[in-house]
Amino acid sequence: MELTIDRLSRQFGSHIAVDRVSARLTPGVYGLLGANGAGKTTLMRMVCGVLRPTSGSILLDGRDIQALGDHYRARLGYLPQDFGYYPDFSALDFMLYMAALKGIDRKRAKTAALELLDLVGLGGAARSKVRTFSGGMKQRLGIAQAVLNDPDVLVLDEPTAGLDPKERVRFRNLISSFSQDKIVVLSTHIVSDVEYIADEILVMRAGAFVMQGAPGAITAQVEGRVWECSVPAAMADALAERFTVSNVHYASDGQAVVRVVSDAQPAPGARAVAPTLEDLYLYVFRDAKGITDEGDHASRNAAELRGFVGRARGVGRGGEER
Amino acid sequence: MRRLVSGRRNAVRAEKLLREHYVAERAGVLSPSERAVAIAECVDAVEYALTCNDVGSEAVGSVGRAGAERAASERHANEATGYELESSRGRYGGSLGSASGFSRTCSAKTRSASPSFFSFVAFQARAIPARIWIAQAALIAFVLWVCALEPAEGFVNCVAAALGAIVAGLGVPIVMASRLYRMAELESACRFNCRSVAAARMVVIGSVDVLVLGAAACIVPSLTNAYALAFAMYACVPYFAVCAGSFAVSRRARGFSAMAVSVMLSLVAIGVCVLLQRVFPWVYGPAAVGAWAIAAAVAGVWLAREAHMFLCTAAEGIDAFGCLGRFAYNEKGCDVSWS
Repeated sequence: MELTIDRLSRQFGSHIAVDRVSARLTPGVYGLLGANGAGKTTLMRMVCGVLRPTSGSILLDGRDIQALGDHYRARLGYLPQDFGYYPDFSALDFMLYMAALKGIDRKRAKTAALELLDLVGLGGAARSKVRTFSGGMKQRLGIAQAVLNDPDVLVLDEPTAGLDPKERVRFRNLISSFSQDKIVVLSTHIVSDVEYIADEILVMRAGAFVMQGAPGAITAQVEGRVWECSVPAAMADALAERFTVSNVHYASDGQAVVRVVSDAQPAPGARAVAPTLEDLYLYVFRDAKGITDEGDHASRNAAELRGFVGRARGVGRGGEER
Repeated sequence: MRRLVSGRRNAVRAEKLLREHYVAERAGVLSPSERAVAIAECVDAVEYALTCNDVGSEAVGSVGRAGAERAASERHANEATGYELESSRGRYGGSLGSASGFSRTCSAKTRSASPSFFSFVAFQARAIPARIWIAQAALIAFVLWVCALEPAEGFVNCVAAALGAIVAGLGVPIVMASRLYRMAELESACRFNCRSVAAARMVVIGSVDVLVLGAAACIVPSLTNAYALAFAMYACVPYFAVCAGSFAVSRRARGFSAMAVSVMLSLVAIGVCVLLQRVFPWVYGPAAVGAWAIAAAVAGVWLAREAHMFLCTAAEGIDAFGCLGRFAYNEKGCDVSWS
């Protein structure tokens, strides 16, 4: 089974949300990482046929998903980033409704629905109204409905939003066991959600894939760009202003251990450490104030130098006059 | 006591075996024959645990129990075939609480069953809240009561027109409920997508509305001097117009509340009907029957067109609604093109 994304684009007015994205997905787990506005949700919506692309195509085993129509959607499971519910539905009603939409036989639907609700920890709330659910409960309900029809292609948009750590671990185990012969694409801001289960990471920025590969392989691209240094606590704030800092640990002796993502050594004595996927994320999506550390450093040095020269000329002139 | 201990021990052993073999399976270190042996061991352990006592089965877990029972019966039935290997993942999954296991054990049966659109329509009818049916019934009762109080022909015809507008105002939001309750994105990705859902609801609501208006058209003439056919015609014009107008506005207005549109149009239609009855009472007399018939035909054609285009828009995705001036239809079919 292969899902091919071929030069897919989506434009909203003059804004290009997805820019000629291509990928070939085979059974496994794909983590889609990107900042807000990178185009992840738009891409996922197009993969699910919820949004029409402006150009390009998506093929499942060589056939366009638009042509496949309901045959494709019958093999699809989707959890949107945000979804509503009909106000009179209980959790079980919701699952049975989704089962009907997915074309599941009514007799089997109830059994499968109850089992899945039990699996995601909502077994005791099956008869409760969805409007009484917390955000995490609603999210778990969404996960349950996404796998209801045992889809071959499972697309999950921010599936762990609102879940506590125990539920996130349960979710990871569920996806791991589920993905043996399926294509699972999940987008997240929480790097740890995909770090351990993803076979391939797709890093998306400004509507395009900027990195693609196994977690270990792409993390190696920031080898030598992640530093740890022990500095006085007061200096830690200054470092945070100048560089992309992934972690600061304040010790009781007034020192702080700072983990910095930077092309150049951020402070004397800083040592390079092994990068993680989170470091990669921070490196790719570092903000404007740290776009190029060398550039910032150089421009700051140049300004100081000009000031020094200016002051020096002023002193010299005064000395000459005397 | 011995069975209790044995049952618990076997349940623990079963779970441990399953975990070990699951990890090995994931690592790909088991050959197919080794996998089959592993499956047999696991199932035997789980079966024994289940037959012993509830303590044993609790250790496996309620989720694992159902999966193991099903898997055990499948193994006995399919021992000579290669199906055992296919269902092996189900047994792993069931006992470890994996959704995939349960889905696989029933997916071949659930996915192969292909419910018809008729059964889907029937399900949509069950999904519509009971308050809608109660409101429809209450409306009929109210109309009958009002007509019995004032049986004059002109007044009854005005009530018929108002009834048509109210029935439309009650029913159209149900058709658009997917957008109203933010379910459109979820439904769009399903086998029966938004278009199917909207079409099914149109069938259900339309059928019920026909029954309501038909019942009123049959009963009211027996209480008054009105004619059944004329009553139905006076009801149809505002009904068709409100429905068509609601579909037209909802299709073009992004984020507009379908319920608000429908209620507003319904109130406007009621106001126009009442105004006509006060200012131009001859409009509801015999002289204007022909005009009402023509208006009903035109409104009916308009409704058919707007309903068709609404369904086409629903099939185009969640951002197809509200594309005023940017969305062009090919009237020959449902092929739409971005302009």
